[in-house]
This record gives sequence, C-alpha cells and structure tokens, in this order.
Amino acid sequence: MFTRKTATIFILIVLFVVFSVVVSVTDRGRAGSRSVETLLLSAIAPLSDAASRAFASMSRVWSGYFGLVNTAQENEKLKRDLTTVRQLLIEERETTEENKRLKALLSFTEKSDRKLLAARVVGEDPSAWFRSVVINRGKNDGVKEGAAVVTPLGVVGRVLRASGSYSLVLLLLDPNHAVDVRFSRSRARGVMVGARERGLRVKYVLKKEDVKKGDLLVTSGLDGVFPPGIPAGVVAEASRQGEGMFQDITVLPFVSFDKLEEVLVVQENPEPPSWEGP
Amino acid sequence: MIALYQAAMALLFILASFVRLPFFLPGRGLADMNALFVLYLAYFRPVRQGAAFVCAVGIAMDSLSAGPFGLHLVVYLFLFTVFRLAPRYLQVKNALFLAASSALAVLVEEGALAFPVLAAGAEPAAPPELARHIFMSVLFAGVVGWPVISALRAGSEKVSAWRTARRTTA
Repeated sequence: MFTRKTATIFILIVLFVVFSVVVSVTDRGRAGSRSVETLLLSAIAPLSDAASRAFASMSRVWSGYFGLVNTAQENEKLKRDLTTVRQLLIEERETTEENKRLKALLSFTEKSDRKLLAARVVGEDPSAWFRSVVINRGKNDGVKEGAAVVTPLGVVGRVLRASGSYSLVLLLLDPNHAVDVRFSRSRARGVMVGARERGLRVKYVLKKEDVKKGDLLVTSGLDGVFPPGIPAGVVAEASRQGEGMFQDITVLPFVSFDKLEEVLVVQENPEPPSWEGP
Repeated sequence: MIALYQAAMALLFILASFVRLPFFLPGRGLADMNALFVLYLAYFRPVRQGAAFVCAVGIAMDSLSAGPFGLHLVVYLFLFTVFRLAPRYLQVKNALFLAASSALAVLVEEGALAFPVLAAGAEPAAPPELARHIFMSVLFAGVVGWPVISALRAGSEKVSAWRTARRTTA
C-alpha cells in the first residue's frame, strides 16, 4: 500500500513526534533545556515583537485611513458636546454660587427679627461720581424711600428713589451717604461716610477715643434708618496726626460693592430716637 | 420711522450704560457713553429732533442715577449745543474728527458731572482712581467714537432710505 520511501518518512515523523514528547516530558526541570528555551526566546521574541509592531502599525494605518472618513464629523460632534458640557458646567457653577448666596440671605432673613425683602441688583450707575444700583423691588413690593438695604455681610446703602417695581439704592460708598455707627470694642460713635474707591471714612470721632486698626464697626440704629448691630466695616487706619479735635479714620466695608448681586431691603425701619425724657 | 430708530438707539445706549455687563476696562467699567449718542444727534440730526432725544436721554439718566436731578440733562444739552456748531465749520464725517470729538465730549461730560460733587465739598479733589477712570473712559471714547457714530449714522440713513422706498412704492 505504501511505498518504502513513504513508510520511512512516516516512521521518521512519528519517531520525531514521540521523541519530542518524551524529551519535553522527561527533560522538564533541567537547566540545560531552560538555557535553550531562553536562548530561543531571546532570539525569537524580538522578531515576534517587531512583527507584531509592524502588524499593529499596519492595522493602525489601515483603520486610521478608513477612520478619517468619519473623524471630521466625529470631531465636530465632540466639539459641540464639549461646548455644551462647558456651558452646563458654567451654569452649574453659577447656580451653586447663587445657591450659596441665597442660602446666606435666607439664613440672615430667618435670624433677623425685622421684615426683610430679598431683591436682585439689575443695574448700576455708570458714572464714576455717583455710586448707586438699581434693584428689582419697588413700591408694589412694599419698598419705601429711605429704607435700609443690607446683606448678610453688612450695610449696603439706602433706597433713594422707588418706582412701582424698581428702586434706586444709594450705596454706602457714595460721599452723599452717611450712617451713624458705633465701634464695637470702645463703643465710641461716629458718622460713616462714603469715599468711593477709597472705602469709607468715619467722621466726628474725638481723638481721645480708643480706636485701633482692625476694630469692628456696627450700625448704632440712632440714625433711624439702619437697625442697630449690622456690621458696617472694619477700621483700616486710624490717625490722630491731623489738626482739629477729630481722628482721621479709614474703614474697609465688608460688602464687596462691585460684586453685589442680591440684597435685602429692611421694610421696617427702627424707631428714631425719642427726645422725650422719662 | 426714524424717530422709532432713534428711540431704540437711545434705549440701547441707556441700557448699555446701566446693565451690568462683563466689563473689559479696569476700574468700574465704561463711563456713561451717551455722550456719543448726543454727538450723533448734534452732528447728523435736525436740531429739534436732536434736542428732543437729548432731553429724553438726559431725563432717563437723571432718573436712574444717584446724582442731582437735572444734572445729566443739563450736561447733555450743553454738549449738544456746543458740538452742534461744529458742522458749520468742520467736516464732521471725518474719522479723526469724530474720534477726537468723542474723546473731548466724554472728557467734558465727566468734568461737568464732577463739578457739583467737587463744588459741594464732598470730595477734596479727584482721587487717582477717578482720574484713571476718566482717562480710560476718554481713551475708550476716542477709540470707539468713530465706529459707533458712523454706525448710528449709517443706520439712520438706511432707515430713511427704506422709508423713502416704501413711500415711492406705495
């Protein structure tokens, strides 16, 4: 059936296989075979690696080339998605910040024993000479001219004019604005007036009064506009060098007027001081 | 129709002055840029129409500002009257002239607005922050004056042309 030559080749193959199996089973654990394997591995692995890299590169080129067809569209879509996500992120940050501010306002409103009305700043006087803002609450909401305007941080100003739905608020920084204040440590009194970008000044504080840098100022309530005890600012500089009997006091407000967004209008002003004796 | 256009522009300028925008100038943002609108009215509109809009803008600004009532009105009317003389002697369409007159108008406006404040003694002198603000405002007006006034003029001419074409068609 088989020729002699075919039978010889078949026997040789069978022997080779059997020999290989026998060698691989019986020689496991021998150092010599490991050396051979290591040698072969060292010789073949780089080739295999090179081949793999070549195939991988070819694959990348292939898929990249055909992928370019959709890349532009996908890129545009991703850009749009990124823009949307960025917009959402900005909105979320704004909402978070607004939430914080509104929570502070709400907390302050709940703590206060006076009726407070929340309002949003919708406009600002562009002139460098007059400091005022427009809020979105007016007479229809119960805002009265002369009403005090505050934030949880401190005094903001007072309502100068009120229309049906909007009011003009004269800010504390305006030189035409004045508040009766008290130094919380020494209990000395003074009149705080605006000085625009330079902050605030406190007038009519005698040189004998103990006023130091860092002293806290609160409203005294004696002006009949602002409720007592509202933070007004902190002393930045107090000098007794000038002429006259009064100190030269510069105050930094707690409220950041350029970032003012929401305010509270005090709807019930404190009773003005009575002159009637006991 | 042209009155409607001017009313819309006046409202736009007032809103642009008062609405809180992301400012791109140091300090407290842009000055009152209504002076540019007043210049446009002075140079390119008939005297009655211009005066009426100047009064309207002035009263609106006085209502929205914390300054003494009538201050903006007087300042705008002063600017309108003074700059109204320019077309008699000068080429007011010239870009350089428009830029220079815009800067000058804002400077005069700021000075006029400052006068009652300084005269009342509320401020001993103009502090450096205000000086910087005025300088930046004057500079800004000088840069944007020509394109803004030219755009206002071009807009009014288009509105007039459109109105004329409609009348002719009718």
